Amino acid sequence: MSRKSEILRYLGYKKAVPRKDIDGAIDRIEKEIESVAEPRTVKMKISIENMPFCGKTVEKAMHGCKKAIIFAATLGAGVDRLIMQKECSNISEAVIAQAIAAALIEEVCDKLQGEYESYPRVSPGYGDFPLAAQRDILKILSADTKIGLSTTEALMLVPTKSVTAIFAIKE
Amino acid sequence: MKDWGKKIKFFDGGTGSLLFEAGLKPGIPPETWNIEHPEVLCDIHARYFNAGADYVMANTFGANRIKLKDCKYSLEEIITAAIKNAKSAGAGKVALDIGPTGKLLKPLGDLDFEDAVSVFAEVVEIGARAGADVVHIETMSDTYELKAAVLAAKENCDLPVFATVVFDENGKLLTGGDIPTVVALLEGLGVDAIGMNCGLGPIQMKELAREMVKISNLPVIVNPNAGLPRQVGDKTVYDIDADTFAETMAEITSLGVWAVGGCCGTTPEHIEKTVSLCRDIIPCPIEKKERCVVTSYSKAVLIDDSPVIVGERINPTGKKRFKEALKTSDIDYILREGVAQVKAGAHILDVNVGLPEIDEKEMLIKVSEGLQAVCDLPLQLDTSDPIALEAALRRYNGKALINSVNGKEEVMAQVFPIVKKYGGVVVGLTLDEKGIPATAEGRYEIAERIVKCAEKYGISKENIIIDVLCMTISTDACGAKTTLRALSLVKERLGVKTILGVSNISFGLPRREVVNAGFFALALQKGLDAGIINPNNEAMMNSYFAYRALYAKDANCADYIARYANETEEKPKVTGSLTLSQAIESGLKEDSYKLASELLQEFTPLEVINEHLVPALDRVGVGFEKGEVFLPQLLMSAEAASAGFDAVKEQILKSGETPEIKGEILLATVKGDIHDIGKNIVKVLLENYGYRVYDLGKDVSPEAILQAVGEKGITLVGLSALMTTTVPAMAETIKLLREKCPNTKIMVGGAVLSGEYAETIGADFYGKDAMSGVHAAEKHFGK
Repeated sequence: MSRKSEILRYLGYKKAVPRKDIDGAIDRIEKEIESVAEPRTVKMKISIENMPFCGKTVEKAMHGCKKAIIFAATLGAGVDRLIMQKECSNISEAVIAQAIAAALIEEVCDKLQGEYESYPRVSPGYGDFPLAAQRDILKILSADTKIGLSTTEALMLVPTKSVTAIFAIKE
Repeated sequence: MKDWGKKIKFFDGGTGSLLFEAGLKPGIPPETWNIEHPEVLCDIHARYFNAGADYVMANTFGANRIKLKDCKYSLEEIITAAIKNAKSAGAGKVALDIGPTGKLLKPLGDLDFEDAVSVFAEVVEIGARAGADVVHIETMSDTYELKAAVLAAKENCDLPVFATVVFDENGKLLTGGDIPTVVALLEGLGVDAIGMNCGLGPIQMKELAREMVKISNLPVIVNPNAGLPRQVGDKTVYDIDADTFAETMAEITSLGVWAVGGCCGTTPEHIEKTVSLCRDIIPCPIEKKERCVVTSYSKAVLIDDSPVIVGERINPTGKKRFKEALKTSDIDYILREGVAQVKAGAHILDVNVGLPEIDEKEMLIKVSEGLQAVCDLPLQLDTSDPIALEAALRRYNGKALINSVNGKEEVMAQVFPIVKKYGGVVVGLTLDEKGIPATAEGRYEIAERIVKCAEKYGISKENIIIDVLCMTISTDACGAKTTLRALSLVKERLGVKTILGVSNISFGLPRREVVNAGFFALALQKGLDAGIINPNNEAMMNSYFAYRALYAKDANCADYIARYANETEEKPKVTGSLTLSQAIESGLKEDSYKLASELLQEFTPLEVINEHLVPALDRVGVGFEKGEVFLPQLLMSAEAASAGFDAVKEQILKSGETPEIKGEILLATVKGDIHDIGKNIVKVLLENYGYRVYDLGKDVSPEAILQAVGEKGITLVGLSALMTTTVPAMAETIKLLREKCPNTKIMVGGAVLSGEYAETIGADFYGKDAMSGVHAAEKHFGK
């Protein structure tokens, strides 16, 4: 799916065509986001026997493979700051920026995953993969010092446009 | 530190990989080995001392109460053992090693600045007591956390403090700071040596080290990784060997770096080879640099050859709407003034929120922190209250411009110690106990006194910027001439930078901008370094850009051309036959403002609201609920309506009345939750419908919400939560409000909620989308 249609999906457009000025605003804000985004990732290959997580969701996602990748990705603090700026000065742009950033971080993850022959990724919070695993993934990867990614007490990733996930690889 | 600069100083190398070799398992905090395997640590430290290290780092990198939350040993036990192990390993110096907490500070994360200070303070206290020789703060990638650590060190021990940060290949920290920003911050805080570690190998660090040495007045430390890492099988290997490492370190040392060592992947072999190649290099002396620099968390503004613009709009003087915003704590209004000035080309933003009826300390902190969340310009903290100044400066992320001190002994005695402790460039006003001297010489003398007195406090003159003040020419014919002459005297004889609040000059005259712009050009020509002006004012900015082009301060007139070349002669778009409703429905802000202003000539404010603004909004709202209008459109219409309401509000304030409000609503994102875009959407819409919204922001505790409800007598509260993990905080808040304020109604919203869920936790209204907050309010207050 194209990035634009992803963004429109996040904005709730389903199949509707956006008004021309909004379409233009999306393009303009996309450039702004790109200029402040600093995508960073950190990953680790592990053997299944060393998989620190268990449960049905994780087990199913492993598809009987022998190896898996644990990774974390973030667009960095600049995107959060830009969205905060728009939230106080221009809420409609903030909503659009939010959707663009969401599409962008997914692309970053897809690209990382594209380097492998892999099965779909799962993130903490899906199924019975507990949200608390977020913190373990960051710890395993030293994501705080490597890519500046950490969590809040309530287990939210900060910077907010970030993902942690695992996926199985066929090797 | 007395032989620093006479001989190159050496730090140790990595510890982690040696511990893993000795059998440490991943996931176990390395600090536990201080107690369980002291002999391993002693051995590692001893090998580094034998390799020639002058300083070894005790194994305390992650020893803080956040990272060791679930550890079976106390912090006291771990740190004391770490220092003891290092001390027993040799005769060299032992550094208390302080790494980051692993948490992100507010506003990006949820760790409060003072909590961060207290986390580090605990470590420093124990480490100093255990006998550390120096405090070494390292691997910092955020200026704010760095500042917290340095303050904790300076406030809790008398040991030398070193601080090194992690740069990427572009010389940037993970949170955006660059080399000039880090240097200015750390010099301001008065650390003893600064530098960089981790992240890169020596080859990549070389250019960064050169840049740091070029601008730093402090000794520079460089502790790179063993090279750039690569994964081979299960092992990490580095792209260079210990010999190349050492050779590159020798080159780095020759650039003027005074202390070198290693970080991840480096071993006693790396250090030994480095010592043998660098030992006989004579450190280059540090030249004194007189750089007048202020910074934000990521941007350093050097006040030097080309003048800078300090945006003056965040100031209540003479602004009814601004005063109103201060009184109602409408921080967003103030932040918007900030963002607009950034876009207009300001380099620094003045922040003055002094108003008799508000708590200036609290407000100055709120506004300066708010501004630092949404824009990256350095701030000028503008207050005459030293308590407010210190509180805001302490929490400021960067090195601020401080406005102001003056020639009064008492004021200097209050302000200079604060500047010395936290760093900053301070504005000195040329007035004293006897007032403002009428002559240029009189003002010059005060300036001289201020500079001398600052020196006694250890503040050098590049951190002083003099304001020779200006008196309106409407009462003093020679006002401008005196100011310009004083400006020249200060520049020439004292050699300090100058700043001026330009617009005073025209007070009492018509068409003030004509005089202001002319005077501004004259002052620039006399060498004014910083003008406090309104960057939204075209005439002032014209003077500025013309001056820079004329005085060869704008290479190839590039800035001038960038600003003016594409300007078309076209008049602003004529609104034509557009109606206010159409402007709102199409999301046209400027048109909405203009059309509302036009309607106000003919109709009363109430008529404009009830017959034009609200019906248009309703139409868009209905479309949204039917799924015909999408969220971005709804919000654009809301913003256009806001612009219309602004016109109405201005009209009402002008007539000396207060705008009528339909009800007061308090909004907050609950404790632990830091996403608040949903709440902000609801707020914009509620304000459009004439409600006054008190926005407590995000991560707000139940107690703080209760207190605000009590103080303001709120009967409708809106709570937002985005995560399943924060819904319990929402439930807790509701329970507390039910108990203490049984008559207050509560509406809730957020991605994880449903109508049923909202009912379970005891809410009165569930907001499923952007418009439902408005419906709940209408139901509560009556339409």
